[in-house]
Amino acid sequence: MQPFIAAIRHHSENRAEATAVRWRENDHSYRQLAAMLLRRTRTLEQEGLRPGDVVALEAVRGLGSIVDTGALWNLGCVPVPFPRDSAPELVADIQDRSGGQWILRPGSPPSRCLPSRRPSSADGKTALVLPTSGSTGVPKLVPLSAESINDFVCWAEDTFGLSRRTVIGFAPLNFDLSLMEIWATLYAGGTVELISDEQALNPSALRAHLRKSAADFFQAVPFVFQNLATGEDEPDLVLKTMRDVIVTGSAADAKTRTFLAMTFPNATFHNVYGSTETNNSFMFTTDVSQLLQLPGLPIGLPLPGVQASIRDQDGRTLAGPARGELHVRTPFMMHGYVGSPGIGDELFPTGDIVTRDQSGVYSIESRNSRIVKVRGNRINLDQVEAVISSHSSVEEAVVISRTGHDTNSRIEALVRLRDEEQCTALRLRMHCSRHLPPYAIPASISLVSHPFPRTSTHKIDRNASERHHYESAAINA
Amino acid sequence: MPETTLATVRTYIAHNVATDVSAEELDPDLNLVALGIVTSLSLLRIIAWTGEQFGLPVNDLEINPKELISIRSIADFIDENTTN
Repeated sequence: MQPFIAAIRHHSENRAEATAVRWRENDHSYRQLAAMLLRRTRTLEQEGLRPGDVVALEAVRGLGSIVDTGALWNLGCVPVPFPRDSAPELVADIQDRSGGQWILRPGSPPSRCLPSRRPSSADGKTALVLPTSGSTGVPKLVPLSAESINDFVCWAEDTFGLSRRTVIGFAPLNFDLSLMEIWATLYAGGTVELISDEQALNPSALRAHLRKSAADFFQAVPFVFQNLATGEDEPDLVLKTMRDVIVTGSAADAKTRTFLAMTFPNATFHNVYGSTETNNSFMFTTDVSQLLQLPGLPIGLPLPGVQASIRDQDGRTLAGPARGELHVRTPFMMHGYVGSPGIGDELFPTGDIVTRDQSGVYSIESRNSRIVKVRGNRINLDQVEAVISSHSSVEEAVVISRTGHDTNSRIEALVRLRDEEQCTALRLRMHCSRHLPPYAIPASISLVSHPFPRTSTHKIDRNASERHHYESAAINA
Repeated sequence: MPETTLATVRTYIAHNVATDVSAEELDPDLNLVALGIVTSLSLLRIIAWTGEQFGLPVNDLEINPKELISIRSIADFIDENTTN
């Protein structure tokens, strides 16, 4: 990842005292960041890390993980950030499938792993591997090349002028949003104002931080913005310095948009659409008044260099105003999942149903119903269902997403055990934790005794199963 | 008294957070984050509960989520912050 190292070196010479990272009230200049990177690089080298090594890295928010990742790039290693507090089995699985040699946790020396039997994801091209959810029962590993990251960073700088910005760094490094907030900002020579895990998890602490912040760029998933709403005993949060606010994910509802307009009165809003596999592919930009007037928030137009097509159920590409599944290809996208053949020149099927109007503006109509976002994480329900079903005590399982009273979606599992089996929801949770990141584990696992209703083609009828279960639960309550 | 706090936390978690799990089954040292029981959302509820139940000044405390991953660590957190 020489471009990143070169960029930091360049900034450490040309804007040595400019703040690179603001972390826990302390400003760290580019000169200091470059020195930290160098020290950490030496330490990791002394510990035995070598160019081409693949390193699973626990993504704890903070300066430490940034320095670790930069030092790994400096050494020619490939970092694979994984969600903090993942179960050891899941970490071992990610390490094994990425062909990794090491696991690195903040503040600890790297620990060497049993050699993986899989080919290394350090193929000379891959600079970073991000785990995401997939349909095969385990998180998919998305490799990104230095070239695609570089193209993305250049787009971000051209579009937002990050070199002169103070950017809220909210996303942990295992999350694709960190490519913009952290890596693009540091490449460009801007300032990243890092949010800690404590602040990220505690809305009142986050609000207290933002009230004092002079940041002018904030990107987050809708869930984070919803959490900024203040309690009754607290004055409204009004962040006048914020000039660009990026909303990602599903189109913000009218209530959220009103809240955004009040909280960020001087901002330009950008609805950015993308996934870990493709990175950003569409953007719609609007000002405060338009944000309030629009009936919905479109995803707008494809970014420069992005190919997009809408396809019908038979895979035919549709022209003009159309409705169908969105397929995209971006300059920033992966070259194929780790362990799978490359995707060549194919467009990536997003699973999302979109519409395109007369003027070529795209809007999301519905997300692929089996792919849901929970607290900003993309989760494939089929994958969760496959993991639970693979437990030896499970006869059949249905995993669904339900909207709670707080309007957040949560994953719920209905499970029927084999006859006479002694198994509990806790054991199923333990099984899940070995194969799924914590955020993909169902909020509740209900054991049921009746076989699930089936459709005419003998597939489990998930809708009927859900209806049946919750109606009988309501009667028994 | 740590013993009592531990039992209270265990009952609370089983009744209000991991409603699919029985209290007896919940080992105090289980990593509740890895099991999907303690999440960013449920952690907020748990912290609010420690304020209501034990009078912890939760808005003034430095809370490290990494330290609140098991029933024992939540109980320790409560005991540490109620003694003074």
